[in-house]
Amino acid sequence: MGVARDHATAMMAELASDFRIVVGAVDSQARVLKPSAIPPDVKAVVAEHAQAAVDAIDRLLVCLQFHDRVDQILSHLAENIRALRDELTVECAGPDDGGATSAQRLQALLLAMQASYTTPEERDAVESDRLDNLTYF
Amino acid sequence: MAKTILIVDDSASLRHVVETALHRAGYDVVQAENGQDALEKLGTGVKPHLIVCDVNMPVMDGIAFVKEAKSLPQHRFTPIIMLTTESRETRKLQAQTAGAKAWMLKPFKPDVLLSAVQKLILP
Repeated sequence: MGVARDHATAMMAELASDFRIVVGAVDSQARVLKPSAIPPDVKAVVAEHAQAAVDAIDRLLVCLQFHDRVDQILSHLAENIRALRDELTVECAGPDDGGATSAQRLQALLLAMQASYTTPEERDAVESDRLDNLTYF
Repeated sequence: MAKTILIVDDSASLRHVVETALHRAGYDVVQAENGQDALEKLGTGVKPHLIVCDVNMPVMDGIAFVKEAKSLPQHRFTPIIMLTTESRETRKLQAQTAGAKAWMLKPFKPDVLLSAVQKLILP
């Protein structure tokens, strides 16, 4: 998560820098020239900076989606750790003859965890016993 | 007499998980934290009936270790299971070429690992 956040932060800084360049270029030209009088080479520089900003935005959107997905997985993980802690607290309190067995409660906990999964990575982890996880040569 | 399995992985927690699963099934376990460490263990007279080995490790990776181990006459026929998060087919092929007998992806299920061990372990 740290890497994704660092990457997103770096992208945002880059994006902000590109915007400052574009705004600065447009502002400086606007002060001395009427729009119709802007020379073609200046237009090209401004267009280049604008395109760089658009590209940076595109990359940022991808990074933010990645960050969001990692954040989602970690959120599920934190919730599941809390649920496991609660379950262990019940388990350590001793046998409850009137309730479900440990195995039944564990199975229910696992099913609840699996039901919360929303990403392919989480679902893949659940299916870790797939036959293609093991290959004999 | 219990059979011995050598676990080679740079993650202490993973070694512990594998050791727990194998101990419960009655195997003796020797641990090594990378390929070089494993070679040194083999050099001190450890004779495992099977080796479970990670692929990506510092100092000496799993593929290099398999090549080195297979070049030792006394360990030429020792079956090796690669246990890894590595999913690139090129690495899998390298392991096969080096002499590994199986490729298992982490996270693994203990019963699946045990069935592979029972299938491949030397008599």
